[in-house]
Amino acid sequence: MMTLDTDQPDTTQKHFSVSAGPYRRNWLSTQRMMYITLLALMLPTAGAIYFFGYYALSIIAVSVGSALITEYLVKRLRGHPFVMDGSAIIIGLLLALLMPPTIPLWMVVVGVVVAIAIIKEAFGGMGHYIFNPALGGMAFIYTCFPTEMTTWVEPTGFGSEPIAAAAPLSESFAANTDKLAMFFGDTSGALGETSALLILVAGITLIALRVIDWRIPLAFILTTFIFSAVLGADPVFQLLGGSLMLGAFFLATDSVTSPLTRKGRVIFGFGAGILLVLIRLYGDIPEGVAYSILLMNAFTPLIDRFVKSKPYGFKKAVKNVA
Amino acid sequence: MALILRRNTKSKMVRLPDYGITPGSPIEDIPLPSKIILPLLSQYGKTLNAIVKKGDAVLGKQKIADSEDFNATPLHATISGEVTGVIKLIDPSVGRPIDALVITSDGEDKSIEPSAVENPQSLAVEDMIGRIREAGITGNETDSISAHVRLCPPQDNKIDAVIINGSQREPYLTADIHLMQENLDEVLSGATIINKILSPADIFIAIDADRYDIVDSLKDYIKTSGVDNFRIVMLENNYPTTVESNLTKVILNREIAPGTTAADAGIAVFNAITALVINDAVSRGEPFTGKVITVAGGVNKAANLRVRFGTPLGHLIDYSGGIKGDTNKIVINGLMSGISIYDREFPVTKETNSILLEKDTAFRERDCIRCGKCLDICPARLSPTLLAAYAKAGRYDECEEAYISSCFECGACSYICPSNIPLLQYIKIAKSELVKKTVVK
Repeated sequence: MMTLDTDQPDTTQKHFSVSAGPYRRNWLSTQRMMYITLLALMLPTAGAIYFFGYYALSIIAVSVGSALITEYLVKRLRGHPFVMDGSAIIIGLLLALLMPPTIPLWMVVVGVVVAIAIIKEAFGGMGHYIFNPALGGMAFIYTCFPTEMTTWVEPTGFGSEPIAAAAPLSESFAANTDKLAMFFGDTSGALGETSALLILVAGITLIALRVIDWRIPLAFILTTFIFSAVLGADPVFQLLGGSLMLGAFFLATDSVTSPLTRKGRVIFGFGAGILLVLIRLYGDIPEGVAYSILLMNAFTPLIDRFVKSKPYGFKKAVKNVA
Repeated sequence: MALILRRNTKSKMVRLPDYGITPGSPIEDIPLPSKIILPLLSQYGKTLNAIVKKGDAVLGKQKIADSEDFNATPLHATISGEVTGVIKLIDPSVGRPIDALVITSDGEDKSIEPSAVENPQSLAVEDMIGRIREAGITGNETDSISAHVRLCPPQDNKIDAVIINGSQREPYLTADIHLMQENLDEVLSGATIINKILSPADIFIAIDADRYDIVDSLKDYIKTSGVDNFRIVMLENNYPTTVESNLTKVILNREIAPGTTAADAGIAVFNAITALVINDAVSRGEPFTGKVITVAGGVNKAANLRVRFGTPLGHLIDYSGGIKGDTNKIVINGLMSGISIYDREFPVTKETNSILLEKDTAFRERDCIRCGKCLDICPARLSPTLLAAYAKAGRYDECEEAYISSCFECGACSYICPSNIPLLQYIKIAKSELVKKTVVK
């Protein structure tokens, strides 16, 4: 307290503390946003462990652990204080959820180190990086170890030996997979991407709490749905297969790498949807969520530069509308 | 045009819990203070010349200071007593010391008889404006233009719309809605006088969307008095929709270009209190010597009080049962766009509309995560985070190019920012640096 007459009781307090307004802040702080996101991610995480067993748990633990250690070391190297703001945990967890269920653990560590040390911290850390770190790390492992990154197994849960499965979104996958199983998550795929249901519940919670903006996921999913239907693919299959749901709700919505304005976010989601369908239907790789989001991340500064509204008083006045 | 209009901007809002002044609780009068302090200031930066000197005996409602400038407003004593000195007071609105008269009460509260007129509506417009200037009505609106200046717009600016703002301007400030409840007739006769002087096409009476009790009396008044250009506007009560500078946009979809006034857009905005005191001034010759303000927050009894100007803030805090717990900050004029006051001896002035007592809270600034919440909430459609980043880097010219002048400093961006960046502060710094630069040129 900044009273000068400290021995006086409060009722006759003469001098008061001063500061600049506003004097209240919204409850939703950066830290709370991070931890709410983490809590929401617990749903797909639980799904991953349920479908793919103990090895999924070890991938997640190694990924999150190495993310924290890397963040700590890089902060020490840069001479910045290490803040436990939850962002490293989220990056580690998201990266783990993007991994195929049989990936060797050391490859996960390589991806995490690239994601945190290079894609996040080397670009300036929190608030400054231009590419989504989890997706960047994943793209790096994908380029280095394409075989391990495309080895898929059936979701056999705990205990049993892994059974080889078709790659998500491939033709044989499409032929053998029931759409209801895809919705609930009982298919092959990366750890956290299989269950559309769990991701939807988590994502809608985040939207309701205003942690993420609904515009990006909606634009992304809707564009993918319509554009793939226009090009003659099965839109429901495109929607539920692969990591579209996870990408739309948890990766494309990363605020640092998406546009600032509402209009910009719609453009971002739309662009990602178009790119995704083009990569999936005409590209050499079956899945394109990571690349479509990373490409749109690169466009974000451009979108921010050109999508702006004229501020108050600079618009031409419209008279007598009331 | 319909009698009742609705204006709703649901997507942008600041929500704060209520402080618990129950709607319908009466406005309270407070006992006289032992002394009053009246800053010799009219509007921003304009000083007044004192008519009385130290040792003079003054009566309540007696004019004690005036200026030759027509745009300035005279000042009146608010209690009877003796002028016991002239002190220096730092006025937070101008940020430099100004003279203030101290009047010590004789405890008798005698006042001079104001000159009432029989039929105020039949007065000539010039006489009305003369009486309004004499009453010294200013400070109720945030743009600090006196009422009589507002009522004589420049020749080429025909005022075609008048807004009487009876809505709650900021969270917790209930004085205006209580006034609309208790003194609705006087507010509306004031509106009729404004109507006669400016003869606009429409008069919009803005109230909060949930004030159905007022709506019926308003409708009755409009029907019985036969005025055909009154409109009731029900505003969705959320901040920053109700920020005064935003009302022209919300109600009429007209925006006031930076550097111009509402009059240039053909609009005059009056607070409900201004309409009330205009009525007092024209019909009864009453000068503007006090108003209803909200005292709430960390006091034991929150209330709307009828307060005379010059009353030290401490007197109001004592009346409200003293400070609760670890409250250690006095915020005047609202938690969002108000300022904190260091000294409990600081007086209530014509600009004061509320006193809120708060706990000192430290907010730790973090990196911007580009969430875009400040852009979403900004009523001026600015990019506060961008402006703050430029200001932090000292790139004030770029702030100017990013239309910093559009900002009307509502503070919603700082409120919503999850990283606790004091965006409004950075914007204010950039603005003052830009002013310095133009002065040097």
